[in-house]
Amino acid sequence: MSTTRAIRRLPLFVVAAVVPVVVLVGSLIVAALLAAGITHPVVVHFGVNGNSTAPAWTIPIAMFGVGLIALALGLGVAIARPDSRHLSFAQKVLAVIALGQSVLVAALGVWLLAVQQSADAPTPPVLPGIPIIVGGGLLIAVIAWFLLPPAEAWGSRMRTAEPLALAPGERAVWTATTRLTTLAIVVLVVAILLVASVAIVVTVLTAGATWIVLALPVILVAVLFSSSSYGVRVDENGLRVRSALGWPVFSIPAREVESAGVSAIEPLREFGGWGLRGTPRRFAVVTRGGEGLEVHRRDGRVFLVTVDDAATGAALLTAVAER
Amino acid sequence: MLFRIDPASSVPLFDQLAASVRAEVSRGALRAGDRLPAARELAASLDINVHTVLHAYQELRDEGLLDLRRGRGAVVTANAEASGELIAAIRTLVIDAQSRGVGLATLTALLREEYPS
Repeated sequence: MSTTRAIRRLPLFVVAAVVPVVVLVGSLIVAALLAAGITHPVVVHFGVNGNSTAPAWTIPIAMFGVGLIALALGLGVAIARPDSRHLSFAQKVLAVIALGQSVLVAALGVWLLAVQQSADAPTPPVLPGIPIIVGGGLLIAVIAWFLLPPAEAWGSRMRTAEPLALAPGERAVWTATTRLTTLAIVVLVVAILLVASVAIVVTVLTAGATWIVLALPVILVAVLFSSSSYGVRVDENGLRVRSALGWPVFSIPAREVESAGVSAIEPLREFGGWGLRGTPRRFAVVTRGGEGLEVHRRDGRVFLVTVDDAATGAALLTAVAER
Repeated sequence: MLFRIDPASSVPLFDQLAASVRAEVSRGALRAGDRLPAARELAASLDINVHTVLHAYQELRDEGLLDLRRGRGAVVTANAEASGELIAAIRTLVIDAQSRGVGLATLTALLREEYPS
């Protein structure tokens, strides 16, 4: 049992931890050797207002700092959920991000130092290399995604609801409200404050003309408000989940419902967070952990929403779907 | 919360709606501070007249189960939760009485005796 578990987890360990460590340590050695031979300041930042320079040794230091973040992420993912035989969707996403970020940092650092070996060229030919490096990092992440075993199928955990007993001609409606958990609100508010402070710093440094950067916190606030509370309703027409602001709205007509039931939802493990989550095949409105209403459509797609008293909603939805 | 109405029943629709709310309160699915759906939306879902829903809500307000405020909608009162517990206790009492073969008339008489006038 434990051997099969270890074998199943090996690809994750390689992608999220072993390869990033090897790539980062190797590139750091190369970068340190390259930096030791450079005495002139190198270009480290490419802005719209011109390039800024710094001593060559700052590049390995920066690589080390950013690389540590990637390693922490990768190692965290590699050792999480040791009891599970399967990978979750979120685990796979975080693992390939850790790998891609490591490769990106390593390649960028070495490349920046390699093209600036001599002090002669006033504008080193750095820019053409950056899209290639970014694209390469993305490509490696995508390849790693397909090398990892498929993500765990969570759909099987639903407890299918028995249809609510309705007399012929009897009509029923079930309504509920589901609100974003305090923890999720705190995380979102911190993210908004971070983005807002970065936006302000960037605006001050570049003397305006960055309305796009300033629009980001506004968009995040709009997202927070639109996803903080949803009304859930089941009636003759089927299921409808609508944000308190009126948008977004998700509807599943009763005739498209194959089955409905209750399932336990774990926001971080299963979906990597709160909000509108998942893939088109398995989509979820996640406001908190705990019980939720799960709906399987006739076309195979799955919809979930975290809500209290989901059993009653599922029973009614099953009943109207059978009518 | 679950609302159900049977147009074939002899019980008036507004009464059936009010009974749904009472049942949800006693089941614990509705708690003090919870907001009921807007009358117009509920009427559309059940394909009934909006005045029927408003009638039911007014009935529940008169019983002290709901607070009706313009712009705030219908909100379950703290009083409702207490009466929900009472309904649950009465249900237990009725089941107990039935299992002992005590009829409704006797049970009501017993209740009247216990109630100080």
